[in-house]
Amino acid sequence: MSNVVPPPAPTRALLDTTVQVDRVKTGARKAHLDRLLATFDWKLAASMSVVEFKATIIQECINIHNQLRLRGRLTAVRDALIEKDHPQRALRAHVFNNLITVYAPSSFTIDDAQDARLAEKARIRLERVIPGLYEWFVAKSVDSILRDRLECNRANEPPRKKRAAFETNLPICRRGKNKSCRVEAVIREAAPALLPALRTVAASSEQVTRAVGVFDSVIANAKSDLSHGDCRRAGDCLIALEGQGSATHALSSNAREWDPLSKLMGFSFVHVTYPEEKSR
Amino acid sequence: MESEQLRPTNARVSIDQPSPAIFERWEPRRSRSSDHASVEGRYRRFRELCDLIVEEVRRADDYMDAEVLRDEGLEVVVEVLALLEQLYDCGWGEGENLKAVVVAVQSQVNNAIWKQPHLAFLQEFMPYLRVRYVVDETAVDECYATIERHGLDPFRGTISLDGALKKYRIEEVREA
Repeated sequence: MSNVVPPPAPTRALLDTTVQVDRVKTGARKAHLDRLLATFDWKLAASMSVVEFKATIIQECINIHNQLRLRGRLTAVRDALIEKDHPQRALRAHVFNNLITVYAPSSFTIDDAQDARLAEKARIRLERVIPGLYEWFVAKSVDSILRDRLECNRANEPPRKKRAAFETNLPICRRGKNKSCRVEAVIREAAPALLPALRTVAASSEQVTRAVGVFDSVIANAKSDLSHGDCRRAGDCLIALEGQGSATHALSSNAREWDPLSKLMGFSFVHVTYPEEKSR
Repeated sequence: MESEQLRPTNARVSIDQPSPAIFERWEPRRSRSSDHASVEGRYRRFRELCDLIVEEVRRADDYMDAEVLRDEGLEVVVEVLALLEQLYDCGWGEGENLKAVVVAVQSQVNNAIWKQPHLAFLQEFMPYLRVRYVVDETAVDECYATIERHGLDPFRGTISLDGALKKYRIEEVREA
């Protein structure tokens, strides 16, 4: 009788969108996450995370690019996009500050020619970075994108540049026109079993409350036709549903939503924190 | 049919005798030899700048201290950055592809502490660029592939900013 020890089951980590954003946005966090992710056999992301990534990082780069193409001045575009109460104001400022840090001389008086030159450089750079970000997310950042369950159309569409501008990154989803996904069917299939538990968590989480609202509306309305904005309102729950059965662990920096969701879906939750930043 | 479509709407109807105003809007015809000279001149400038960058980058090895460029190597850094600015303006390449190559290179070396990967990237990519006659999208692709091969960040200067010497930001001045 042989004494064979079965190999340990492979660990499959589902990465929340916040983790994916930190991997691309912040160098120090990236190094920390690379060390953490090296401890897992497989790294997975959900198609709904691709949509969230497109709606935030990629969309803001597209907005900046298209404005630079239109106005041809960096400072004018920067002023127009930063000086208003937009929810992505901080992300836009982050991109502009990085562009200035790299492409502007260390001390300068910005005249018209310099301003136009900076705008041109920023625009040309973004023309490569925008498709590069999508490519990084879907092909390089993880071993697999979980897309079979929802079959989200918006997640499968890379950003496309026309002759001058990038076309609409996330068009409104309309079934029969540009949408053939299964999101409503997945919600009707999975939500009835999940909703009682989600309602108990909802009191402490605004995001879960929004997800419960979306799930309820789909169950109550047979003609429900969700667009990507509705799906993003239920983002974490849909990501968790896509990962259910495939992932063994869920990684997120957002413990309030992901800890209870992980318990519901049967993942081991790994709370991603950045201790180096706190000690600075 | 084609000439019909190109004809300005305010032009005369007859296509046999177009009005002189049409010709005024067209770029004056240059002789084939002057076009050739200008193309040759731009290529020569492109090649000359690439040669100078390659030469400077080779010299940088002498200033490498373990993993980082010593202070004495600053002359190489300043020279390469200035040459890259000139390369950006030299007008060679298909469309904006040379400019795209230069901004990609600058995204890695501008306002950065030059380490071994930066040098290795330049030492691999600049000789490749120098011997190209056609600077098209494949040159841009190769530049980004070389950036990634050397472990550098392809999104530096946009979404991320690793290893910056100094960080800058524009702040709005609010009146009290």
